[in-house]
Amino acid sequence: MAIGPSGTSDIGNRALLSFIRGFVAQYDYEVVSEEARANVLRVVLQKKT
Amino acid sequence: MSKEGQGSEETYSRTTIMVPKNIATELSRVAKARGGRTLFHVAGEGLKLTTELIKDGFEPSDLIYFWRLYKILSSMDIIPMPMKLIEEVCTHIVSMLISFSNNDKIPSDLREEAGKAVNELWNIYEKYGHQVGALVRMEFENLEELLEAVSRVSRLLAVRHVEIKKLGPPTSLS
Repeated sequence: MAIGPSGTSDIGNRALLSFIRGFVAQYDYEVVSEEARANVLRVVLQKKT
Repeated sequence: MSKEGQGSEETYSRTTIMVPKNIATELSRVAKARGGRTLFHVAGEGLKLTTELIKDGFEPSDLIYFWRLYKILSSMDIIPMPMKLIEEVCTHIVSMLISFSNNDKIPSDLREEAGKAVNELWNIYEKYGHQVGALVRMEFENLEELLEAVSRVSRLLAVRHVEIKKLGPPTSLS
């Protein structure tokens, strides 16, 4: 999932990522990897088994 | 010619358009339930709104998703706020706490507290993500349905672009 614009700082991205982690947990997903580049945050979600 | 609109002096010319019967029936029922408004008035208001949305490049059917999201999030007292403001405040606090935790001139117990506070801040973001997720799930039970809805109304959200790709097995989203 690519979300843009993400936070423009590492801290902003970290905050957004923490929020996403809590959010997707409600759907039984977890963040397995993330990458922030050029105001776009890419996260890979995986269904919890 | 007819005057309508709860005291409005606006004058409408009447015309007849065809709509599905179930929609007309539901609209009539809602109009009566809302203070006895006429179907003519409510239909006019609805079409006026729809025209504005289409003129601005929105599909009214997409905006239903936005409305569903707005209704549930309003129960959390969500307020619109510039993303930059949130980010600047967060960056300021975290930078200061990290600076404290790395400063040898500050007593070790205070440095340790500063380090813990940073982690607590991430936990707060995660906690609210969890709470918002619980609310949103009441309306969108499936994550794929939600992401599809968000991508349709992203122009109205702080997130300007959402792109979803499925990777590998059907249970993975990217």
